[in-house]
Amino acid sequence: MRLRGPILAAALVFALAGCGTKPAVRIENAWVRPVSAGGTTAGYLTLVNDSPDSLVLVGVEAPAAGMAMMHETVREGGRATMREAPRLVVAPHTRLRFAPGGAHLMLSNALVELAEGDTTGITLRLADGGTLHATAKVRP
Amino acid sequence: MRTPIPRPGLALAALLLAAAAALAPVGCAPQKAGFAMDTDAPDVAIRGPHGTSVDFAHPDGRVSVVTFGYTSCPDVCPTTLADWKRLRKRLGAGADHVRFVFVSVDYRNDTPEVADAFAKNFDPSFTGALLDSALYGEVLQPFKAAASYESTPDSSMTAVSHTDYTYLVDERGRIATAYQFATKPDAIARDVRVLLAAGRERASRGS
Repeated sequence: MRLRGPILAAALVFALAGCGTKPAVRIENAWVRPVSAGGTTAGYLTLVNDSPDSLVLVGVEAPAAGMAMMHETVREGGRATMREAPRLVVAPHTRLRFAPGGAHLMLSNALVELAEGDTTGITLRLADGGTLHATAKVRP
Repeated sequence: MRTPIPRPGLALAALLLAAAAALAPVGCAPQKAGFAMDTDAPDVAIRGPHGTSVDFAHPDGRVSVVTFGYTSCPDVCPTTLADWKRLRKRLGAGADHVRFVFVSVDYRNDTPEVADAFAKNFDPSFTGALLDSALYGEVLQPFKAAASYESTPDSSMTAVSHTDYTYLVDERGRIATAYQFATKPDAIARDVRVLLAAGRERASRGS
């Protein structure tokens, strides 16, 4: 029964990983690039959908920005163009990554300066009327 | 009696060696990160802040790091300038011989001062300039760059389509290399050092 120890350890690792403390739908790694008051910046995050249902995002709100919109940067032939993404669908058991050079949350007309080390709120609006909130770190 | 070499072990070793050989060129040899350009920079004065001008053809012996964008750009331009800040840090003392110029192509909404303030938000040593519409062709063509306003159903948003590359212009005013968006600052730093060394070499030869 030499293997009992390792098996027990592995079982413990799996139990800890899957012990259900994380909600099935969650926002991870939310961050916003620093911006001076009045300026435009972007927020980034990963929306994890481990639920059996699709999530439909229809908007974003950020108290620190005069206007917040979901956008996608479309990059073709070395040219970048920004387009509004009014609706984004996250299929069951997938994740949507807002990341530099791709989908992002445009935060324009910053109402306050956001400096490195600050935190700021981001709320995603869902088609079913629900919301998802995250506290984003401000970092370059 | 000699112990026979276990064959499965030999096969595994051969496999590992083959894998290492296959990976070596990728993992060890320096990769070319950018596209070689080797064209003359435009001999044009671009409007800098407070009556100054930026002229890439006469860069005062410094290497120029250049990109085109606009200040209400939330994603690509801030990402590039944040990468530049990392690039500048990687260069150490060599950064004193490098200037970083963010050129706004949004002549409708930006001013040279706004472009400069935008660049300086990332690093006080960065400079911003504004490309007037009359100079679009003359300045963008040698960089093989392009910029235009996009029509958008939402008039509250300025959408500027622009080449998102970072360019290096050497101390003689030759556009040396172009880098795709999000090229690692380490890779660009390596090439900047090569340009700085070549410039020193040319200066020592008096050419």
